[in-house]
Amino acid sequence: MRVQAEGLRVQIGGAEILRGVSLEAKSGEFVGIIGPNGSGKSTLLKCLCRVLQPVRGSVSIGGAALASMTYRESAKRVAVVAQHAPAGFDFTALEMALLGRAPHKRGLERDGARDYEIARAAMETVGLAGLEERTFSTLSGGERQRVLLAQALTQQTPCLLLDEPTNHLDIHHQLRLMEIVKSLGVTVIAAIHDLNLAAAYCDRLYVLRDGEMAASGAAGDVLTRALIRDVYGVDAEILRSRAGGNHIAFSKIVEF
Amino acid sequence: MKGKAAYRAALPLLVIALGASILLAVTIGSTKIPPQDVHKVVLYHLGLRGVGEPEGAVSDVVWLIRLPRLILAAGVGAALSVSGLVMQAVVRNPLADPYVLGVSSGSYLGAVLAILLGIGGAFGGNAAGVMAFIGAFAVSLSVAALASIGGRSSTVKLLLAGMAMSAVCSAFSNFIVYRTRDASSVQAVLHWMMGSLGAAQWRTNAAILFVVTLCTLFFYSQFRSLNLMLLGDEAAATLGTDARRRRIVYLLISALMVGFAVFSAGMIGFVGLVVPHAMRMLSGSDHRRLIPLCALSGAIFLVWADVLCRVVIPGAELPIGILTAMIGAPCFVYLMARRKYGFGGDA
Repeated sequence: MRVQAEGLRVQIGGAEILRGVSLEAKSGEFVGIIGPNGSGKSTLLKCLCRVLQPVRGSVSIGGAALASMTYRESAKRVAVVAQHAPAGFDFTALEMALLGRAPHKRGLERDGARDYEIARAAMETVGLAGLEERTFSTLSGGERQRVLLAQALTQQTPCLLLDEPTNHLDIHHQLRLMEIVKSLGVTVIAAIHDLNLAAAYCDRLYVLRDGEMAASGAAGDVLTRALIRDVYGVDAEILRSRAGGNHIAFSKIVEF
Repeated sequence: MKGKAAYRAALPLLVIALGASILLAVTIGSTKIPPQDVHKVVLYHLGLRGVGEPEGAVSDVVWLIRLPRLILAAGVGAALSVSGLVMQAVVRNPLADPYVLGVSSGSYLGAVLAILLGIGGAFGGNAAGVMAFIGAFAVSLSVAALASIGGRSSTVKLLLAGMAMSAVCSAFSNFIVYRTRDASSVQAVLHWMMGSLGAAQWRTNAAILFVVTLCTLFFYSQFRSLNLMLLGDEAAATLGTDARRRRIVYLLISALMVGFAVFSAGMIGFVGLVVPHAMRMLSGSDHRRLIPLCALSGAIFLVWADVLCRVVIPGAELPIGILTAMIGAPCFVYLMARRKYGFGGDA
């Protein structure tokens, strides 16, 4: 499902976080958003899942305007993996995953055998089979992150938004998460800190700086020495790995 | 599925326990009446004329005093427990109870106005109750309105608005109490604040049970949204629920239900805090299970609390609010001390 954002402007507490950002992800495309801290990556994602309302600009998903949908409709199209937790309360891991079925349920309808099947399959996909009955708060940071991915998978949406999805994950599970997401074949838009991970998995990258799009395009074209130095203020070398991909090695901070 | 199995077993058990509790409790009282006579009265009034007409005085004590009181206890217990459960989700805080958003001080002010200043005398015999209901509901409305100023409500804004309204109402109430020289009417306010089920009548019971049942069914129908609310507004939105709008609706419906409880029984603390937590220990955080569990166990809890109130001091009645705090607080500490239940957080 195609996701399109046009001229998004967002102000939070008087500060302009996004200054007219546009983005497009074609159906089935894996799009990465990179940029330094505070550049507006999370804010942009929040606009795409209507957690934030932009003051200007619009978002359309599958050709329909996001703002005109009910929350239930938008939740059927877009799932989000962010850092949320049931603060102060506790669900089991399986219950957390099952909450992903919420937009597909009407009123008093209970979670049926099919819903449990979907949730259990998602738990297995993220490698948490056997931990279904553990309470969420007793899980490690990485396990929690994977439960949240399982919840998003259970939502079975054609679009998936990921906000720093590899936070708390060890390198094995970082790669695994990216593989899982890639294998779904759905439209993915992910804010990613790790440039190498972004380069390896994303079909296209958008580079945000100070709430504006600094560059966009295929990873190989975007992630140049000049851009990394310009946007992040870091000297880097682009190495060719034996597998044929690019690998970025950071050497030192350069003063702006 | 430990929680699920426990729930399946607990629900019918609780229904039976509630029925049995009421039938047992109705035989206990200051007037000694043999249990078979008591149940004869109940059966006779329920339409089983075959048991024979009971003696008038016995009939009055059982049918007009004891039973309405127990039914009210059950209704108020269910109302407070369900409302406590819902408020904990609404403000996303395990320390919340039915009175957290200013309901207690609002009803206190209402009762003070009625008892000490005679305002609302037109409402008749239970003017204090009616004024308390109005106070509770008015404060909830103001809290909802205050929290919505400058954008949509959040849990923090709600709690702050609740604290502000509480402070204002308490200050006015205390001022009135302070300026009152008549010790006996101050005593009446105090008595009212501590709660009593003594004024139960069939007619008002019917209205209260109707409201409590309706509100409980409503909240049961909202179980999915209540679950999502625990994840926070952003997660709820991405899972299909606009928590910010629903929060205000839930707050007002809960206030309506608690208002009726306050109207008929004054302030009864700790029920709405302890029962939801006890039920979470039993069956987890899923509101589809928690709402019926809380309604039933809250009802049972208050039925027995009321029995204790009547028998613990021979010849006198202990205000039920005192008793629930005396039982409730140690229970709460016990729950806290059990490391397994960290009130959901990382204890």
